[in-house]
Amino acid sequence: MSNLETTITENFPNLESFSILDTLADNSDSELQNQPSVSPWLNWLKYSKTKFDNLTVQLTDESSLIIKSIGDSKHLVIHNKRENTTLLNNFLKEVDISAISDTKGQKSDKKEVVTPVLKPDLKMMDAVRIQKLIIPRFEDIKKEFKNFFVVHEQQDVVGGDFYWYSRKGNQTLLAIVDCTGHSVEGAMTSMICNSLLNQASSDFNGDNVSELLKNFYTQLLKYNKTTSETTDYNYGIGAEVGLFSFNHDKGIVSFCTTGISAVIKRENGIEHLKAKKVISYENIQQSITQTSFPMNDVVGIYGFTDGLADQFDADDKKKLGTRGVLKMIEDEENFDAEYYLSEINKWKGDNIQYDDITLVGIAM
Amino acid sequence: MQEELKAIKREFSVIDEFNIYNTESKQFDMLESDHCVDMVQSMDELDCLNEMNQINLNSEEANYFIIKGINHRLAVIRLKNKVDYNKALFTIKVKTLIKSIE
Repeated sequence: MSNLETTITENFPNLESFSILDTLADNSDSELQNQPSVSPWLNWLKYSKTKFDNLTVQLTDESSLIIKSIGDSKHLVIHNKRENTTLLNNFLKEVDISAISDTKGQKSDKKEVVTPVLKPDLKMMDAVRIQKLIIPRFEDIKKEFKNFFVVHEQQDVVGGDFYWYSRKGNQTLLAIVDCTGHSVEGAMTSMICNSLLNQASSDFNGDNVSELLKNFYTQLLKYNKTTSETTDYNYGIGAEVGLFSFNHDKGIVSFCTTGISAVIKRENGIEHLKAKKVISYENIQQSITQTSFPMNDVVGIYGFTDGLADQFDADDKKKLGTRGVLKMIEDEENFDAEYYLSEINKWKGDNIQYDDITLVGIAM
Repeated sequence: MQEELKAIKREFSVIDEFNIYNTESKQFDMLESDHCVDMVQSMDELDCLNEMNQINLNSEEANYFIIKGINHRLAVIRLKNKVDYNKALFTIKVKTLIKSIE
């Protein structure tokens, strides 16, 4: 395996397939050739006279083909379904192919060992890796409930949405957090908010869950005041938090929110717990919306960030809205992330994703 | 239609040519120059155009953005190199335009 192939495999282990193909050679035994949506493009590479540096073909909503020219006849061909396309494209932009362009004029042999000099965007990959550290383990949350799923789709490779989990005695705490901004700005804020949530939960005595949220915002306010005193910027950071507390001793669920909406599903219908957006963190206790209800008649609980309701449709004319989210939940075919992701993609079509999206589902 | 095309060209100076290819008739319904003819026809002959929603092709000479519309039509847009533009907005507007052509 060449350096290039090794690096791609290490950084993008979930690619459908990829290969460095010499279009002058016989590629009939390539794995790519056996993929029906890809093989016409391999034929085109072989017979077309069109010269290009990069070619990206969106084959379907879920899959894409990325081809990068290497010299006159060689191409790096990648078929991708599951890896982050933005990250993959950024990586490929950084690949220095100068070392292999010297192969021009050599006898073509697709098995020849190619050793390109690589300059992958490791900084961005590190940012992704570090942000993933604050995401709780899926299995840890799932074992707390009958079932659990999460749709966590960042608009960029990193973002401002995250979810948080903690266990305090016989109480399970689960938060959905939407930090101001997205991409790098949101991601930086998410790291601070995760630390502040951990700090606030360590001081939490288990009685009043809104106290935990109050402590979180008190710390955030202090942070913002310090920032405004020490820099020229007079704006700080912010976050909307929806915090669920499951008290297993009392059989009570409490929900405190500063902007995250929730939906409760019972046998006889669904209830939308509306959230009031908090503008100022002064007097935060009065701004937190809190509700409590018994666990026994609850079938499912859902929480989502505003990026979901604010997502525009394929024609870019209409937002999904809270009604659209409620309908998805009412019409739920499967209690899993695949169902909701598929519904979101059906709504979004080919349109861009405007904001980070997080949707959490808990089956009781 | 011509008005809409003029409007999008005014809004996005990055557009060098706006061509429309019909995969049923195998002809261009609208062709501003023959720069892209061989490329598009070779893609069609080898059934590539059945296997795509949209294409971005970058070369030293020019960039191309190709997107499927309705009624077998494709927008084949030649873009100027080194012109900065809002790609997300551009994609949405082109998609809306090509899908509006009956």
